[in-house]
Amino acid sequence: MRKRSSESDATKSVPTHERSEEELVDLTSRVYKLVVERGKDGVLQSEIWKELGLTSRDGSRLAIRLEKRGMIKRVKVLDDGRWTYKLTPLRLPANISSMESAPCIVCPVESKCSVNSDVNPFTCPWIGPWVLKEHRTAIQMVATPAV
Amino acid sequence: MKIEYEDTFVKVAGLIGGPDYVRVARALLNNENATDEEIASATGLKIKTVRKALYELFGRSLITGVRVRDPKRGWFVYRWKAQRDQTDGFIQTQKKKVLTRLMQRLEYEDAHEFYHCGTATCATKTFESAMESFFKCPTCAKPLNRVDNSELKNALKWKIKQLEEDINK
Repeated sequence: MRKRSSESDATKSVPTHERSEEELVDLTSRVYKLVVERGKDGVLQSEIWKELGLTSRDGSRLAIRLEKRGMIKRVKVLDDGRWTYKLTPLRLPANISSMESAPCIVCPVESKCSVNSDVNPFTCPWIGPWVLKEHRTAIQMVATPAV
Repeated sequence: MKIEYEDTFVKVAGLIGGPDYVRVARALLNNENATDEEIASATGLKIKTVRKALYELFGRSLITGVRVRDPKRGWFVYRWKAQRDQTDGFIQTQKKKVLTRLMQRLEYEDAHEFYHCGTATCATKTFESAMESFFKCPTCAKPLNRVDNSELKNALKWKIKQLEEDINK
């Protein structure tokens, strides 16, 4: 019987259980990124751990972590005579770039803000600087594109 | 802290309270029905910070808490759980709220002329209120000069367009 090389790989990288939480978070988001980029077609779990330079055990643990969180679906498939899992995204990451650092989300008087109140969007001291800063940053990014 | 490819719940927590909230949100996803003490030990954050984050997330209906009796100590503790089905709705609601406010502000900026004395701590006056004070700042008594708000109007239009596109995606 052919031995599964994936399971018997000498662990070049640090095993998952010895990694710090920060490293795990980073790896988890990298795995999720790869799954999301492939979209509905999905990606094989074996491709992921190879691409990220991980062991199959680590790749599997990270995929299970994402599956437990309900972010991806893992389906067992036979690929080239070997059992692996196909990972497909269940949830796509929400786009919050337009809302980043929006003052209304953290405003202490947000509940009182209305056009008929003393706290209103017309005299709000935070809206103006926020949109100006975002607009200037966007203009700068257009003027100096990344090399 | 990169949160581009993170669960929406973690992203929302980051929007509300920054990196500490992100850590609390991640701990909640890793360990469902955790107590504040368990989250504090998992994240290494102070219990005070964890509680503040939990109450704030609870106040926005992003997490739920169940009161249970601690079997060892006998007192009541809360076990917290992320309400991940609420996060997309939360983001959409916030986007719409901000969009409405930006549109109201743009309308106001379009309809008025503004005057300012140049002192950073003094408020900007509309033409009507500047005329009432004879174009002298009521706070510092400096003369009030016309403020060009075209850059702000352009920025508001740009942000409104960005948010509208985002909402209609």
